[in-house]
Amino acid sequence: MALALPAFDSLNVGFAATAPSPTPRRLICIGNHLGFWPGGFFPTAEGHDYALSPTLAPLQEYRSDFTVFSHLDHGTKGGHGAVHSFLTGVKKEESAGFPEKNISIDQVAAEHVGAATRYPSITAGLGEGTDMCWNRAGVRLPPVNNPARLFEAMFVEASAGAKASEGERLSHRASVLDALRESAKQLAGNLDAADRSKLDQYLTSVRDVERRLQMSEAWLGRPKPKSPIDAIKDEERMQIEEMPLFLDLMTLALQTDSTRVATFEVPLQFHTTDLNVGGYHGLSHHSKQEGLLTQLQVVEKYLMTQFAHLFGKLKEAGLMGSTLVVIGSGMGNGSTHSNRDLPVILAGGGIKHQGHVVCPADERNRIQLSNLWLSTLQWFGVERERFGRSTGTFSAMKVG
Amino acid sequence: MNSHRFRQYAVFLATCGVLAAAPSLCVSAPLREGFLKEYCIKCHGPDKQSGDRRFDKLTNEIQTPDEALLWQEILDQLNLGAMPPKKERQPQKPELLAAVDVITQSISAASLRFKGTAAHTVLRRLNSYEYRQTLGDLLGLNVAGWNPTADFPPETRVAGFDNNSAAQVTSGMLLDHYFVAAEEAIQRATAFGPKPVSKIYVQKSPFYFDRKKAADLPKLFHTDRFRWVSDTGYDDLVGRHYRGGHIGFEPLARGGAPQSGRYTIRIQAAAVDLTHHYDFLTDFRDGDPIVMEIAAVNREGSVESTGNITTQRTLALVELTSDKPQWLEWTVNLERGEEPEVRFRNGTAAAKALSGKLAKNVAGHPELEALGKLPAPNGGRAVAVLKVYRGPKLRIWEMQVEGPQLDQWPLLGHTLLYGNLAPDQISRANIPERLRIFAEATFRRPLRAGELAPIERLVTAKLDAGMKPLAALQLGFQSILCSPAFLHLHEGSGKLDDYALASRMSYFLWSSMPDQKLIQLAAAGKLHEPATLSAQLDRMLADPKSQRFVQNFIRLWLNLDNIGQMPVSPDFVNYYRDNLDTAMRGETETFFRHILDKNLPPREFLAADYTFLNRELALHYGLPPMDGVQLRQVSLPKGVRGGLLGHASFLTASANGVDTSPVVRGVYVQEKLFSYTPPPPPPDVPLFEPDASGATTIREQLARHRENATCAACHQKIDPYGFALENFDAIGGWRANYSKDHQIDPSGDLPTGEKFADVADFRHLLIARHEQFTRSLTEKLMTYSLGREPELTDRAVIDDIMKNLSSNKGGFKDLVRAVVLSESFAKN
Repeated sequence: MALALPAFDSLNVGFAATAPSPTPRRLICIGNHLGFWPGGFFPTAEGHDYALSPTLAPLQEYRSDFTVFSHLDHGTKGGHGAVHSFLTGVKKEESAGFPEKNISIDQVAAEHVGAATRYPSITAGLGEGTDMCWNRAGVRLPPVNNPARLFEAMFVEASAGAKASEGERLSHRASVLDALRESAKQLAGNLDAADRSKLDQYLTSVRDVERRLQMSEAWLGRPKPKSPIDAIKDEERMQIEEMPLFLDLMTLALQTDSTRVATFEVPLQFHTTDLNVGGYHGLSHHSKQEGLLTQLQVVEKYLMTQFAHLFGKLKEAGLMGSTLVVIGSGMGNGSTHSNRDLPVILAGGGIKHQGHVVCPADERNRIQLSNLWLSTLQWFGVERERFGRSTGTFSAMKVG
Repeated sequence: MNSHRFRQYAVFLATCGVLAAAPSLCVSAPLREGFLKEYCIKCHGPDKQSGDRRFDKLTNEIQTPDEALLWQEILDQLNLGAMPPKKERQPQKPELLAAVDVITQSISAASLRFKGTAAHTVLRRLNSYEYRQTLGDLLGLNVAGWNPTADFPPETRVAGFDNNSAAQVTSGMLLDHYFVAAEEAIQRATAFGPKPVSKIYVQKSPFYFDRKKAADLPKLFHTDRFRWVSDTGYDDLVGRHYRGGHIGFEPLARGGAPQSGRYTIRIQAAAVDLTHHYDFLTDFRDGDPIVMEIAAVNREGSVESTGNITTQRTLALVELTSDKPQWLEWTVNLERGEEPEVRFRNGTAAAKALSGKLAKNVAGHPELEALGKLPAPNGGRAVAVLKVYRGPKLRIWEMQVEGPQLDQWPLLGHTLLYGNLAPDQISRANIPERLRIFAEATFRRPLRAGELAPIERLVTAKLDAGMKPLAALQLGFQSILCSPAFLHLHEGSGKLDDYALASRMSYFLWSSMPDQKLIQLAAAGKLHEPATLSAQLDRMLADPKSQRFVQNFIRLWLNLDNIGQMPVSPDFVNYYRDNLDTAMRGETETFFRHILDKNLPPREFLAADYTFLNRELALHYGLPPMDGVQLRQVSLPKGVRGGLLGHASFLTASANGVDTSPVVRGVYVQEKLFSYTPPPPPPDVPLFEPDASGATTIREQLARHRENATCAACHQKIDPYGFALENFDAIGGWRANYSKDHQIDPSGDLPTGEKFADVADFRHLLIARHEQFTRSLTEKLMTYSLGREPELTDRAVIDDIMKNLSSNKGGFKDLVRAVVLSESFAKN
């Protein structure tokens, strides 16, 4: 029996969809470090008519707009040390064995967008974030953690003078890159094969900077969009005030086509005390104790409420149908430090949502979360047949 | 079910048994032809690919990481007993064991080959730490005050070390950061014009200003609900938080120190009301001295949301006990843009919380009762309460800053860049010479013919296009700092030339470029002579720069970055208030330095019956009180502490800030002290959930876990090493019980059968294995100094070092010397 869920194939995307679609597709990925307490997160019944779990309750209004999955993961281990593989399928430590290292889906999507938008992607988050976004070189992209800075980047136009000097700076940098490339080639002549292949990384980096430089130069002259909201000031805020600001800005970024890929990270150091409960990390070590669990659920409910807020904003902006929202975590259970059975929600994107999809739980028949990521990327318009640990696309997976 | 379990167990033992066997790359042909064909291909072959897995195309030799991954999956499934499926024909036990055996060997051989570098350090890039120190030494910059690598992507770590050249990643993002850092470094090193004169900047109380009158100052300087313009001639700091616990220095608050250099800071201060009568004030130990911190902060580009601070570092800490005003003085290095702040380091919570508590607990405190009915919270209630508060306060009358004191002018870096040329003397004629001099220093060796041509062409083209000579020259300098010859250690193959050897030495002991003396010896072709190398080692270890080796090596070896990375539970009040993270790192660094300088036997790391403590750490350890923030040598009573095992840094880095796990600590002890990493858990092992409620102890839970024979096999080898340390909490404090009803049982048996009753016993068992420890330490020194993991060919070298050390009863410095003089160090 083919498990065609969610119905990516019903949209006829994938390899056939090479012609640019009139509406660009967009991707939002949101991850938190500690995941969600499984006892409160996963619904019990399967399919469309499942009862929302307590943790998912704030999403009630949008229940036909998302699918929640059970028993998906990457098969990785390492507790806190494996959370960063949520969107990659591959841990940093094992990235050397993979041709694309531990690149995350958002960055694959960002590469696909290229210079079509001012920012190939916007990576945002609270505090230090949770190491969620990784590029092709295996380097982590840290989140922008100040909403004012993000606002500036999206809407605030630099002065003509600043633009001119930035243009000059970019042109000098291009000349320096030329010189560095020559220097590297000259140096390579004195190296043996192993050293030379190491030096290739340097040359690849030079090319990467050049490519992005050209994109920056191209965008420097074009005006930024007008902000439909008041400027976000730089001031001291609680993280629980920052989060809705960020989610609004991400929606605006998609709306103004400043980017088509946006991510948001909730760190282990999330200031949960602002919600009048204990420290986030301490709460995750709840060992099923009532008091701690109750507090942890306050935090998780807060996060879900924010996601509901985001869905509302996306709908308001008419973006829900063209934006796929991935929500989840690389942590399956913070109390046991398990990276199995990750919480995964897929929302929007104009796909036929399937309620609660229960994937096979037994070892032999498990489905790789990477398969879902591959399908997500194909939906986005990226032509590829593999991602991370994928064994195929999600819909093609067989059960039994 | 029973037989199934037994099989897993047997398979597991077989797997462990071959880990040390001679590696072979080939999955033997009979296995492929026989076992796979017999049991697997039916479902994972040309006709059918269950789970999308197909094995008939696997070759005899593991060629790619993907193939290794596939074999690993097969191995996992066999180990689990999950494959072949129950309904299919099953292999006999010996056959299965043989298959597991061969696959395990092949995978480990292949993985060695994929990462193996044949005892050769491939083109090694300066890592972030080395890059930072090198820029500092090259251009004479204070990189403690200005960190050029603050935003660099983190380095990849292999076995804890972050300079493993094979694993290093160079990315476009990193290159972007190199550009920014190079530009800023050149700009910071450039100082034309006359020598800046030293000035005295003075500020007397009040240190806070009305917001409207000082709108251009950061929030720290403004009055608010907890800070007022004092009319008493002094300002009182009451809390630890910046609001009410920090004061800034107004004369330098608009951009910081104008010039990098030495400055003398003088402060007139006193400690007031150290003993108090507020029962609710629980996070200041009654009678403690006041710890005053002088911090250097940089506000450039800062935002209000981070308290207007971009970077901060501690310049000095001092304990105050007298309530009479006294002048204190320090001479420190300030980097341009930095300004001083004074802080009440061990203050109670924020002034806001404090004033709230005071207002709520008026009864029995006449000074509070006398206030009568308090005005509304926003109408100055907090100020009124804090003004009469009789709890611990840091009182400041006056601050002075005098400087910069400069020993030479122009500065070292400036001279390297421009000699004594004035800006308008720089021209096409002298630019090539300046570039050459700078590049030679930067590349750590003589230039090769034509090596600078691309950069010279760049500068010429810019001059042709009308760029000013100074700007063009600076662009050239920046390019040199981004060029591959600067960023990489070029060690070639075979015996190192003397320049490469000089760099290997200096990056080992100084985390930075060789100095002039080393380069001179390399130029004379003498450095590689054992007597010269040995003398240089002594000279380098005597240089303050060698503290970088001590700090950085310990940081990587013991993974001290883990301290504080997992947020420490706020329940550990003393961790934050008493600055314990700094103190505990300091303890281990001072201990390491002591063993190194005194050339004590490496056994001392395990056996020492003394350590280095300050007042706060001694309190944390429950030892007799002592004064002062400085670490001093202290003898330890018999029993609880001794050697690294009792260091709070060791015990905190092996926990997660909240609770402890014998499993995690057990692995940590074996990895760090004996270079042994227990195999990771097989897939599908249910994780157990520690019971924080205290209904069952971790020992009881682990005992249940070990009822399963599969788990037991490994956990018998891991858990005892952690049980022994269970008396230490997540930040290394002593505890006898988990909870009222649950005593801690720190006893156990090592896998070798030896029993221990507690940590003191356990320590003796480890001391008995000190030779294994020393070997492990040697391997780690090699890993750190060579930028690669020791390989098979290094084994003989390590054997030799061990033999000599043992027969000469050598000390730790002898060990470091032996590494430097070894064959592995001399060649590549």
